[in-house]
Amino acid sequence: MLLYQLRLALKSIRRNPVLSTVMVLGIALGIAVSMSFVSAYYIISGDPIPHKSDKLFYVQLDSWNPDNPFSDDDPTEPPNQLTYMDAMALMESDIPTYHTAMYKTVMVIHPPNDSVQPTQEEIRMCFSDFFSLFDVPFDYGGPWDSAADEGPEPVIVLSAETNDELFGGENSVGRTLRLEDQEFKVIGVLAPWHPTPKYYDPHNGSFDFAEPVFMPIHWAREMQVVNSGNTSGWKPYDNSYEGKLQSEAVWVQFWAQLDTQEQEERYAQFLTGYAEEQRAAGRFQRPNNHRLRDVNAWLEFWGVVDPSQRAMVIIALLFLLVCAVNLIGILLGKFLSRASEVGVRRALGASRMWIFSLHLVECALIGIAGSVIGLALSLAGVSYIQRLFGVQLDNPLDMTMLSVGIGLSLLAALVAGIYPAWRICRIAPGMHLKTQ
Amino acid sequence: MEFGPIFRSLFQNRARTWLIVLEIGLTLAVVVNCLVLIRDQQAQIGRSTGMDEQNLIAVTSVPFDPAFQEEGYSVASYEQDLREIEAMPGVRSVTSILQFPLSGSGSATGRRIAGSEDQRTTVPYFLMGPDAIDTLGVELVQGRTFEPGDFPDLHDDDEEQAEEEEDTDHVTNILVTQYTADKFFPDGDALGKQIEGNNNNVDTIVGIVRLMHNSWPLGPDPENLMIHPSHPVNNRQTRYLVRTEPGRFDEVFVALEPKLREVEEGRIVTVRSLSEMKGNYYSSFTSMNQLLGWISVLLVAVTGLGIVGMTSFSVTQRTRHIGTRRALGATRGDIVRWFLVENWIMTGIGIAVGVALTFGLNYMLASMGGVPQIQPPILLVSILVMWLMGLLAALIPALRGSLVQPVIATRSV
Amino acid sequence: MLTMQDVRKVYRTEHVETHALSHFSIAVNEGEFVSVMGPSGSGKTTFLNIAGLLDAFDEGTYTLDGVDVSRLSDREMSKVRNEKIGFIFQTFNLIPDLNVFDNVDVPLRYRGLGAASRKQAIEEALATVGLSARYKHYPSQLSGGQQQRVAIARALVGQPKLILADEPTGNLDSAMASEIMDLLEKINSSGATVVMVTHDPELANRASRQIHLLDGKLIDLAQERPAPLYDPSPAGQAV
Repeated sequence: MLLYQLRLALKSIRRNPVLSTVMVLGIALGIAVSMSFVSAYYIISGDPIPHKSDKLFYVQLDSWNPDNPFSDDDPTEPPNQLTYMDAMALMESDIPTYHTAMYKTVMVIHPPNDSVQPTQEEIRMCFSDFFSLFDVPFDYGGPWDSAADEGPEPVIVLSAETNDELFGGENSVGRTLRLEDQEFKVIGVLAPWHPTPKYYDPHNGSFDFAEPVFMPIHWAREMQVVNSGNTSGWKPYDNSYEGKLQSEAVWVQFWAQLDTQEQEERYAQFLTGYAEEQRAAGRFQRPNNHRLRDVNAWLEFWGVVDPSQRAMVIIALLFLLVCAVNLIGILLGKFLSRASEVGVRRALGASRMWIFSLHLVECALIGIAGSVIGLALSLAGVSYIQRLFGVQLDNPLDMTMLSVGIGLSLLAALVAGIYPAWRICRIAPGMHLKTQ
Repeated sequence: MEFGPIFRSLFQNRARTWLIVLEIGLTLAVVVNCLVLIRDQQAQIGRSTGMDEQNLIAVTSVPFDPAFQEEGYSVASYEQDLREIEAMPGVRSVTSILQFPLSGSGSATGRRIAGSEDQRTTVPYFLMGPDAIDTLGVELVQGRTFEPGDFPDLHDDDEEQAEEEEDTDHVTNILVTQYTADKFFPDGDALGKQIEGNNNNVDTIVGIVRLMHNSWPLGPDPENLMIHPSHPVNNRQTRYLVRTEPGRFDEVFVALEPKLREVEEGRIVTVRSLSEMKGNYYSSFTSMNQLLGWISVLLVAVTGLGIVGMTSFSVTQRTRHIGTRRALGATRGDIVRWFLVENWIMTGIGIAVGVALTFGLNYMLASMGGVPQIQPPILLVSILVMWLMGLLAALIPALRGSLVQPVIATRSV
Repeated sequence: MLTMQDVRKVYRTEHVETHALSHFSIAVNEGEFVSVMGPSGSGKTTFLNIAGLLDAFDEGTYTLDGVDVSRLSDREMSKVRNEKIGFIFQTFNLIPDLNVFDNVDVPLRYRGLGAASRKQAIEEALATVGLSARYKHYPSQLSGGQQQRVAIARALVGQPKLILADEPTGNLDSAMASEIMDLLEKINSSGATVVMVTHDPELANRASRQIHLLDGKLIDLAQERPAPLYDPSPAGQAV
């Protein structure tokens, strides 16, 4: 019986090829637009590292000016970065499973091929824990070991894209690369890695790509390279390089992985103890006020999600609604225009239920066609949105979104079909027999 | 026309009528809110930055030749760069600057009226070399521009000049925007007054610029800005801002990099137009506008095709009625007109519903903080477009309907 | 009133030509009540369609009310249908979306009359068919006979000179059919020419003249009294 209904429904779809196309494309567009927007939103507002986002903490200490709060907007908020002194002092703790102080800088890279002009690139200065902390995937080699954190070995890790560009994508572990005046040995090459948003350091661009080169933090001191991110200061300091390292200016980010509640509590105590120690030494003249924000709390605090992006999602969902209304309208028109045929079928013994299901089968077919085209369009839509906003996603449409998409379009088509199918199944048997 | 009967007949087909009304209403609501957003963002992009952006070129020089590390080398190279650029044909003037305007990266520091006990407020600032005002192309409304005596001596100690940020016990002659002047001195007597930073470093306001944007035009106060005289040169990177003569931008733009590399080989030279940097800064706006534009166009298209579809079926369904009307003396024009009027009425109700939905949606989105208020001209234009779209969409099936032969009326089965 | 001379109408499909009317000539005088009979496929409906300017014909001339209407434009034909002809169909053909008043109003709408005069004409027409009280009803709320009476009101509301009725009682029981015939006679007696196609010999006999069609040709009983269509054998009569 279902096969027969399928055949009839197919025939009916083929009978009005233009309008069937309009219906299928309409629902496909609705699915595509809403899916691409929702998935884009899901990505920017979602959890970038779901399996451990509640264990990674961004550390803030209040080392700021006793006379003025750090932020005019929220006087209770400590500075959003650490001083170099404090960050290095925190590295002495053995409580966290992993931890790293870090900052961004720029250096001149001299490509191995002399005919290519040197370029200036961003470098992330960090400790070896960085890679374990954020689960950074490697294609070749691996991170430097913690001994290299203190030197003297000149080692770097390259991103996949940089390795493609400089070494044509081959295993470059062991090769050397000159940055500024220093030769570095490549010790690891990352697999493509695009944390979105760039949660570990959303300063100066929450959706920027990860840096192309990672380097042990002590080399910056060796090479006298200052940071290129935000620096905020309140107390004048000696303008030399060492002067900045010893200053009260904040410009270093700090992350710690605390796996257990107990670790978290001990670490909080450690921070309080550190603040009191510093206060005794004449620094930290503001009340104790440290923050341990996990990844999601940190992103929310940064306000990575713009309200207008939320507005876009609502607009995209309304788009789907219009497409559904559109579908209901056309289906209703289509079904009612063959009332006489249904009248004959009813006169010949078709039950109301049969007529109803016949028409729902037709809607389902339209829904399936719409979802297939819609999903293809969604992929195009997501990549269009990525290109438009310069965002690179490792996994733009995952299985959940895929199944949600298929389910959504089928549901939309079926729901849209219920009213028209109900209307048509109530046609009296034999009606329209005389007058048509 | 026969509004009465058409009206009554519409409500015999309630479901179809209301679906079209709802679809038109929702479409109008979404399109108007998209357009309001687009319009608002375009207005922000299009507002004046105070500068002669069209003719400004931003040049960054990053030295890698070890020679730059030598005493005095950077400064000598810097002075030579300024001279050489100035002498290029088509260049009106050139200055140095620590961070570019409209770029999203810049510096800010705390200031208060000198000698007061006020809380310091944050003021973004630029460190700029000689010829700053003429190069930016901003309008000086009071006081004077920088004079050679305002600048620290370039041949002192390199490092200190470059990062001359919070020097102690030092009086600097600075320029501020009208906005910043009014912020500290609301009575309009800012000229000659002093403001101070953290460690008694005092600035005297010697000139006021009518309007200029800082590094963050999308920030809360884009016009809040002071300009400090400086030679922002160091051995890591130096930035220049070049203003070309009108009409000679392209010529200068391509000549700059070869020229600077000719002056000094061992460095990376990056040349970008200020318009491009502005475009990058506003890129999320432009991207979003593109998306919103597509949504609006697609939505109107879907609704238009939907109306074509619904009207087509309604024509098919009414073939016999059309035949009867023709038999009773209706001309083809009468039939077309019937369908068009019917459609106009539905579109009209749809628009009325849509206007209510538009304001409802706007209120909802505005309460989320994302959307500005509705401007009546946008609403009116959208209404007009919807009406025309409805008319066009109904025209195709209506013309088809008018081809029904009157003889249909006498055909049985 | 109505004169056709050597009218020919051929329906063509890919393989077959069907001569619906050939060398068909007829003259109907003003004030006549003519009934047209004939078996299925004899050309009755084709004749009525051509007479009502619903369909074009291939050869011959057709003069209606002293005007040659053989080769009019679509627009001119619409005008003639609207002003000179009133149609009554077997299946009523009321417009289901419109109520009784609006249905009767349809032909007047195409005439560009003022609201007041239209209203008066509609009320008179509805009074003639005895449905004044039901002007707000929709067709689906009326019985078959009532629907046909609305259709008659619609046909006569424009005071046409010629009423064309295509089996007006075909879908009605005999009591209602008789009522409809009374109405048609009343309209005829007030001056309109009526041409009615019917299957029913009894109803046909109530007309002032009966004509028969067979294979697209006219057999006018009033003038020729041709041989009966069936064999009136004595045996048959004896039954």
